[in-house]
Parts: sequence; structure tokens; C-alpha cells
Amino acid sequence: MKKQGHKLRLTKEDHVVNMIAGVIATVVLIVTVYPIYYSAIYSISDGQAAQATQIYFLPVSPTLENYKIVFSDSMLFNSYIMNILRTVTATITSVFLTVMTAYGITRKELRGRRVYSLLAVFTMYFSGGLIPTYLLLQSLNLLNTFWVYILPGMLSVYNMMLCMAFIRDIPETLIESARLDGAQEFTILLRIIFPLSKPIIATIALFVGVGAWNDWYASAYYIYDQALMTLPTVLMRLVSATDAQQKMNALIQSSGVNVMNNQGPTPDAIRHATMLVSIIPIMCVYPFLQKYFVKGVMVGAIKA
Amino acid sequence: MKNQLRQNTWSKVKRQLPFQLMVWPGLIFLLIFAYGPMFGLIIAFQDYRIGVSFLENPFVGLAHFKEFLSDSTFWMAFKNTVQLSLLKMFVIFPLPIILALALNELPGVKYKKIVQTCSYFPHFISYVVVATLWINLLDTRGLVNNSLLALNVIDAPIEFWTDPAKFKALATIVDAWKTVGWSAIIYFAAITGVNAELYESARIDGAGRFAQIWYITLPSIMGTVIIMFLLSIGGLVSGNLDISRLLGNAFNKESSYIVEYYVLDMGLGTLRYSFATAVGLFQSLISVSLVIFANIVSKKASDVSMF
Repeated sequence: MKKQGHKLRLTKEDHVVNMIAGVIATVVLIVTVYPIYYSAIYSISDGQAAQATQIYFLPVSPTLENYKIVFSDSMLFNSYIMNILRTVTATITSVFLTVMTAYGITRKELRGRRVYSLLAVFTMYFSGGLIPTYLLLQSLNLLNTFWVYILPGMLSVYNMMLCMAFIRDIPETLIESARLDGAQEFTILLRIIFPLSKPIIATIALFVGVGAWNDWYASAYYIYDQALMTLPTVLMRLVSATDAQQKMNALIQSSGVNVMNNQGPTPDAIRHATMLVSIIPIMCVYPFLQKYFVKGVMVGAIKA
Repeated sequence: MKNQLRQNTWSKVKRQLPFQLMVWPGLIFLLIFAYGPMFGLIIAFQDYRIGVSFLENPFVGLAHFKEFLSDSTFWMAFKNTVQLSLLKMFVIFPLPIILALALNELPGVKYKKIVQTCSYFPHFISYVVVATLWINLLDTRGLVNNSLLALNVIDAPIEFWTDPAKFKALATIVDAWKTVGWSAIIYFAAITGVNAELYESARIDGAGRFAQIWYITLPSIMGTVIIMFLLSIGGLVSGNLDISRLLGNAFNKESSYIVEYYVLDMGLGTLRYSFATAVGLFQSLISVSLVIFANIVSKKASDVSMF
């Protein structure tokens, strides 16, 4: 890390550089944070009131009505549960498979590891594309099932390579001594490799988890049963579908709010609440995982 | 003797088995879900019909390719895809580098951490949410228009999302908002790796801060910059479906429609699977050629190589 050791004698140039850097940093900070903050204050404002006067920094007539509507609507609530289910399942299965495959491929004892690595790396540069993938899932009868969320992306080669870079740094002596103690290879994997790989597991879990949580494509194109749809897809329909307005009006009416007295939720306010509901879980895990993923990405950047 | 040999082979197999068992499940997934669709590409040269085994479909050669190459909608999508990629390569690409350099020069460590943490965050938000947020902010009755009206900058709300002429600039802004902070990580890593003694000796030689950035920091991260740029060349003909599908609408279609969207419309919309597969294959072949080309260039230009 470079430090300005002579803080006492800042030259004119130092001041200019500090100022430019400070301005860039502050602009980035505001541009990043404000839209999310705006959405947050809108989501806790009374919809009608927020429509009447533009809000900037504080909510108007604060209320939790918008969130109540989001959670009382069966379609939104159901999609939220589905989002949680698919994210948890995908993260657990994918992390397990990725670490196991990565460990196996890094083992020098493994016969054919060159062929296996080539087979894996090739898929990073070439793929069959959207339609053949769709037809494959169709022929495997995976369309419109929960498993279409889990199986196709279960092994990400990129994550596997991050993991391999990490595992290569685990001292061989640990594995050797476990083997001398009579441990089976799978025991070594479970008892030594997994516990030692916690930082990279956290990174991969975050990548897979966020990917699954945010994905809309699978739900939009592989699923037509409403019970299986996930939150981003439902949100998307609330925004773009032609029946969005109808759905919104139904939501507002079913909430039993009196719209006549210039109070009550609006489609905009409900949309903001839905967005926040989607962002908040990520916000909750984000600070804890940050130190891991920054390290993980840097390792990947240097080695890959 | 023979028995011993057999025993040897058996013990070798027994030693191999756990490792093979570890990698096979993952490889089977790749074979099915990554290589499966590659074999499905064969239908690009056939007339695929639902319910017929894909080996029994009649071969039509390059007929589908000829057809889409003479379709003006395809060329519209192709043009948009390339233009959006060029904006990504030349407008968005330098931003993370500038951000990383600026944060590196920031005097306060704590403030730097805060800015970094916040700037990564949009990467973790669903594109659906990002799109919804920006559609809302730039709505005719949204925050931006209301603020501009209140400040008397404009007399009537600006139609941001229904004007095709504005779409590409807006898409680039939204994409930058989502990706710049995250892309900067790799440059932070590169800057962290710069030898501190270089700065020390430069300071002794009387180099100011700008000179240090220009002669030490930038050249030190140049290798990373070149690799990242070459990687982005491979994406020249691939579009971002998130942007096109989520920010695009019927009004701005002429500048938001991209090849991927065309493939989905043709394939899943009108059920012309073979035709759509041909379009997708054409696109991936160009992409792969570009990646190979970029790698050759990078090998020639320096020692850096992606493979």
C-alpha cells in the first residue's frame, strides 16, 4: 500500500490529485447509493402522497402498507418462497459439486486429468446456445419443473477454476499425513479440504446464491406454471406485461384501502416495495461475505 | 507372476477409483448440460420438427443461414448488438480503471472502503430490479423528469424510454451503473500488486502524483488492462439479453432489439427451432473466432495470453 508519508507538506499537486480523487469517489458513491435509497423511501411512503409531491430525501406519510400488500398477495409471496427454495438448493448442491470436482481435478493421482480439464475449459468458450439448450431441457422433461432451476447450472467451470486455484495452495503434507493415518480419500475431502476451503466456499456460495436469487431467464422461458415462478419474473411482469395495470389495481382493491381520500398504495409504491423485498436479503448477507469475495475474485484474477 | 500383475492393476484401479468418482458427477453434468446442446446444434442444418428424433429430420444444408442473412430484422438486431458492444468496449471499459486509480489516490482509507463496498453492490442486484428502478427514475413522471421540471431546466417531461434515439445511451448508463464498481476489483488487485519501492524512488527523483500515476501505476496495470480489453473483444457480437429484454419495449425496439432476442423470438416465439439455432450458431462461431484472434494478438503483442 502506498502511503503519503509526508502529510505535513502537501504540494499543490497533492491537493489537486486528492480533490479529483475525492470528487470521483463521491460522485460514484452518490450515483450508486441514491437510486436505492430513493426506492427505499418511496417504498415506505404512502403511494398517493408520493405521487402528489416529488420526494427526495424523506418519505411522505410513512407506512408499511406497500409491504403488507406485497406479502399478502399470494402470487408475490409464493414467488418469494420459490426464490428462497431455489437459491438455497442451488447453493448447497452447486458448492458441494464444485469443491468435489475441483479437488478431484487438482489431484495429480487422477488419470486423465488433462482431458478432463480441457473438456471443462472448452465449455467456457463455446456453448450450444439458447435454442438447443431449450430443446435439451424439453427432451429431458425438465421444463416446468423445479429442477430446471438447479441442474443445468450445477457446475460452473469458472467457479471450479477459482476453487482449484485455492485448493492448490493447501499444503500437500496435510493430505499425506491424513492418508498415513488411514483416512479414505472421501474422508480427506470432507474432513480436510472442505473445512480448509471455507473462504473460497463463501465466495462461490455468494456467486451461486446471488446468481440464483437474481435470475429471471429460467423462470421466464422454462416455466409456465405460476406456482413455480420466482420473484424477479413476477416483478418483471408487474412492470412490462400489459395486464400489469389490471393486476396492480386488483392488488390495491383487494387490500381494502380507501382510494378516495387521496391516501393509499399506488402501483409505483408497490413496485418499489417489491424491489426492496428482493434487495434486502442480499443486503443482509453482503457485509459478512464481502471480505471473502473480494479475496476470491482477486485470487481468480491473478491465477486465471 | 501373472497373479501379481493382476493384483497390481487392481490396486491401481482401487487407488484411482475415489478420484474418478469425485470428478465424474461434475463431468456428467457438463456432458449433459454443456455438450448436449452442442450436439443439438446439428438441427441448424435440418428442418426440425417436434416429435421427430433429431437424426431423422431432413437435412437442408445452409438454407436457414441464407434465409436469416437476407432478413432485414436480423441485420437490425446484429447492428444493435455490435453498437451496444462497442459502447461497452469504449465507453464503459475505461470507467473501472479510472475508478480504481481515483480510489487508490484517495487519502482516507475508511472513505475508500465505504465507496468500494457501495460500488460493488449493484453487481448483486437482479437486472430486473435494476431495470425497474431506472425505468421508474426516468419515467415521464419519475424523479429525473420531476427534478428537471422543478429546476426549470425543461418545460415538458423528456420521453426517455420511448425514444429509440436515446435507448443506447440509456442502456449504457444503466449497464455502467450495474457493472463499473465490480469490474474495478480486478484493477484494485493489480494496483495492490505494484511494488511500493517504485513510488518511493520516483518521489526521490522528484516525480509528482500525476507523474507517479502516469509512469508507474498505469504501466504496471497495463497488462491487466490489455487482457481485459482482449477478453471484451470476444463479446463484440454477443448482446446483453438483460438490457434488451428488460429495458427494451415496443417503442424503442429499432435500437434495443439484439440477436439473442431475435433468436428467442424466432425459436420460442414462432417455434422455428432450426432457423433460430442457425442464427445462434452463426453468432457463436463469430465469437469464438474473435476470441482466438484476440488471443493471437495478445501473444504477439506481449507475453500475456488468456489460455
